[in-house]
Amino acid sequence: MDEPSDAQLVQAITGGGEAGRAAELRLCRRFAPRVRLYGLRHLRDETRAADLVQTVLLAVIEAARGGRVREPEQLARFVLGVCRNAALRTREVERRTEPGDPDLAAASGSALPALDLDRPAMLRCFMQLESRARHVLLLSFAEEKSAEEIGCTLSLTAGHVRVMRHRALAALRDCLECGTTGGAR
Amino acid sequence: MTEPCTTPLSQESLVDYLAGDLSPNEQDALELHLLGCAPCTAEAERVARLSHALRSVLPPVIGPERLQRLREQGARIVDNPMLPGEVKDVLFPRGADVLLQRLGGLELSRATRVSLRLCNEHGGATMLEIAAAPFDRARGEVLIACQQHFESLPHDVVFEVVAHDHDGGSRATHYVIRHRFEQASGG
Repeated sequence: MDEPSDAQLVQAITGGGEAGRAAELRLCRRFAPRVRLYGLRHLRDETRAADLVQTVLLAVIEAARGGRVREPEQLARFVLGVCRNAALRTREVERRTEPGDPDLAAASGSALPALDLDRPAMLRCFMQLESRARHVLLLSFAEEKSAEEIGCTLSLTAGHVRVMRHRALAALRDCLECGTTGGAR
Repeated sequence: MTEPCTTPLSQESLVDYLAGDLSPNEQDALELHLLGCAPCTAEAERVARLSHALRSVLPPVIGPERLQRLREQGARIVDNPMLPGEVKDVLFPRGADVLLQRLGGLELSRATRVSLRLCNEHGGATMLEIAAAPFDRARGEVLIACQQHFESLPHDVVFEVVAHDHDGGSRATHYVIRHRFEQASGG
């Protein structure tokens, strides 16, 4: 059976009833991972990203219930706007979000696989990378430096930094998944 | 079944996105695509697991500001001051978050850059090399944040700190730390 489109989900939610409720849960499962990704990028924290998921999905569903999603076929754009506003408010307020609907919370939570990695394995793979590659990764993600800033520090162009970063992450992932590295440089 | 994406995002763009290195327009376009695309989201999640893990990694060398933030966050930090040329056995106590190796006694007043190299004391293999490490000029220190998961690395380590001056001169200082990690008490 084909998956319903975003527009079909919105229309079902607006219609209410059992079909509307089922569509709400489906929408949560579909968009939870996508919103979490947005949260991880902008809030830099798994817990706050999970809170953002609850906040955004509740807002989107309430809008759909009230017929306020004007272009259901552009739901992704609507969700992006809600994400932006919610992330902005989250940065301003340190209070945790309380889940408003346990079924919706469970639906979205079930769609979010854990992000944890085997830390000792990651460290072993990380230490197998070439020294400069390790430095680029740490400066990029642990120190949150831009490619330009890293380039200045290491006397590289920003473009070179991006290539090194991409290759280092790929080597790290290969090592973790397969147990080997390509000696990223 | 999820349809494959007809315009999949490149790995490079996903990495640049999660590193915060896209222009505002590029970021907007990529985010809009991700919110509408399950396969690309799944691929981005694979990258995000790594970037998230790296982001939560405390780098092995930290500056005074990072140390201050750690203290403010309530991290359990055990200090180990080291003098130039010193060789010391050091215990990482169970329950500590960070064993802070203070590589001190350094003349850094003229330093424009400090490089660091960690070698296995047995055999000399380089474990880590940092071309520009953070340093505390006022206190003449380089701070090494030793963490519990470093137990999987060689324990007996030579730290070589080189202070590079603006006139091209440099001075190397060595410290040897033999780490021991406190085990949980057995029955």
